[in-house]
Amino acid sequence: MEDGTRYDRQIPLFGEEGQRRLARSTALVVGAGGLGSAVSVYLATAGVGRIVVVDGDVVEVSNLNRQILHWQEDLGRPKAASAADTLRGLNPEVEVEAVPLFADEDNLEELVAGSDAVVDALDNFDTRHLLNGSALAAGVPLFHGAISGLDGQATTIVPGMTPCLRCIFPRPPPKEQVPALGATCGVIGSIQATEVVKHLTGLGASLAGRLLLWDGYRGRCDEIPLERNPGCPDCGRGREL
Amino acid sequence: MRVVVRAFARFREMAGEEATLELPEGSTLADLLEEVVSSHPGLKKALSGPDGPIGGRAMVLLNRRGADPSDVLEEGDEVAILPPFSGG
Repeated sequence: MEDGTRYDRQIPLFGEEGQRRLARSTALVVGAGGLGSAVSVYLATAGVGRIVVVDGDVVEVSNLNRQILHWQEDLGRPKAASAADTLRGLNPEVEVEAVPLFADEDNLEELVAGSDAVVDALDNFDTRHLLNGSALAAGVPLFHGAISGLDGQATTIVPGMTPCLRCIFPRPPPKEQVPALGATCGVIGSIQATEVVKHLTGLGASLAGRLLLWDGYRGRCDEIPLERNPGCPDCGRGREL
Repeated sequence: MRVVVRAFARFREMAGEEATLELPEGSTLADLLEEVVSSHPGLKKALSGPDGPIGGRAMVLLNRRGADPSDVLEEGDEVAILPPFSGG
């Protein structure tokens, strides 16, 4: 069988120019857990030129039910390094940068500023709110995803156009250990990856201004239309106060 | 006044998909949530926490954006109640 090029099956979707756009783009994936695994794997295989993976954690055995970036042999390694190895193995054409740090106010500004797309693959809303602020300040789209059990949600935040994460969720929910099935991370992370590819190639209609809810128990999707909060402390007039 | 409440994901099994509630003028979002949980014990149990009957265990949107429990409701308001999804 004759070999085609790596991207033969996706170029019909967005053309050679779309593929070049992907190759020229940098995606920042914040979190190399369950969501980060699905998102970064599909961004790497799609040929997003540069992927920066941020995670300060190390791989534990309890991660392996869902975090497909990390394998048995990676136990005890920094997740960022383990993620980078997996992604390079999947697609050596992609430049992968591992940042073995927890995202915080000090490092997010610079990381976000150099990106064309910011992926929220975090596991807590305190850091999500920091990331939201950084993405708004830099004017870079933020691709939100979150899960619990068989359910999850996703939306696409375009600074200045759509509601921001704090317009929708002004307060973090209580910190609790969330049950997590790998396949749920796969569903939501794949939706986020689809949104990023659409954004970078100009394909389709995004989840801008809509919260997509995946109800895995019932096998159904819902969506909630979203509106900006004019008094939002992150993107509205609350910011100037 | 009448307010439309929609529940999502697992809250649907506890509170039903959609209901229109009749509330006294001046009612707040917290009043509405109390009303909803009082008639749905399953939801009440799911939301109970150390911080009180609602305990922050629900994400609540009022007219398509985040809201505060002290927000005063108006005729025709739309409220969405969904479980907190915070994992990654």
